[in-house]
Amino acid sequence: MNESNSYASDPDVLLMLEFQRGDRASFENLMRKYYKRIFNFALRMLRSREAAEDIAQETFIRVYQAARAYQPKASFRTWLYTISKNLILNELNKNKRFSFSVNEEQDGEEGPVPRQFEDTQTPSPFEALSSAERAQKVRAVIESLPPPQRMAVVLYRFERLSYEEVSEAMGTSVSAVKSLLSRARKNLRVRLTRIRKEI
Amino acid sequence: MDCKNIQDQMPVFLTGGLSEQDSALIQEHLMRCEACQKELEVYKLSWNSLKDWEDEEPDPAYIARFWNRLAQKKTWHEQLIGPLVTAWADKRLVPVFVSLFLIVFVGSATMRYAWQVHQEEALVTALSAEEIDFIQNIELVEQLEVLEDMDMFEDMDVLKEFAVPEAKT
Repeated sequence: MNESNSYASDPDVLLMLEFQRGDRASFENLMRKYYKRIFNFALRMLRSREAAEDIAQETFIRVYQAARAYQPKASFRTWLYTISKNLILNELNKNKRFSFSVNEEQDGEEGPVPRQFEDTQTPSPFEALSSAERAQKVRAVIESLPPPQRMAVVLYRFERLSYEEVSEAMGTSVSAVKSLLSRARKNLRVRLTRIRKEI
Repeated sequence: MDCKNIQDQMPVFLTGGLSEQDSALIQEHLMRCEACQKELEVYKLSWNSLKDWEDEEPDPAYIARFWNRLAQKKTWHEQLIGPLVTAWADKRLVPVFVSLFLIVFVGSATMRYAWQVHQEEALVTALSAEEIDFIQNIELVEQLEVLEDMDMFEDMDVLKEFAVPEAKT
């Protein structure tokens, strides 16, 4: 079985091929399915609703423009996130808030993990916060991660991509993705524990 | 492995980045070490708390916005060819297209002829008198060869005339 045929049963690929034959409704179905996902991926990376809307729109414009030459060589979902990731990286580099490539790991590593253990059984003051307040704290912690770690966390934890899909979308190896996620887990554990103690 | 090693490896363990052997060692340790079990829980708790950052809804008119944006944003070839196709479809502009075609065709032919003349003039001015004589001699020799060829054909005709009566006898 050749590689392109292995994606022939992917319903998203079928929609894309229908759109290639001129069915505009198929394209709109793909948008309904993925627009919100791409918007939230961009939002978690760029911190701005306006920029996230822009990235989501631009992602689908790229898909539309690529439709004529489209060949199912990867899962549609991974392809979509790859396009989106490239646009997000361009945006990050353009704004010079921080410049990075996916394979270039920035430090941002926390020091040794504190050894005193939390009582995880009784509800902490963190849990007593309103959901909006908790979300704000979590958001601040995720945003403080180095961008490659943040991207790996967002794709794996929020977008529910597999390690393989994350690696494909980020253009890196599976072992590099696992390494990014391990460091991210450690940073999140330290920073969230610190926040819990401050409350 | 002691507790410090186990806890250092914990994020890698949770991410599935350890070998089967190392994972088995950690699991075995966790069965009997309460401190490390708590540390594992803290890791899980921090990871689970990410769910507090929920998805947001995009602009509900995103599909209409997309089509509008696409209409405004065309590729360079669409921008170039689109107006030409539209203009071609407008039959009133056919005389304009024909005139343009003639201007381009006649103009290019004229320029080509002028270029050839210019090249010949440049060649003549660049040659010495001896070289010009030589070229003219070559032309004469070529003409002589043609004449000789003609003589040869005439001779063959004469031979044929002689040959025919012999065949009859």
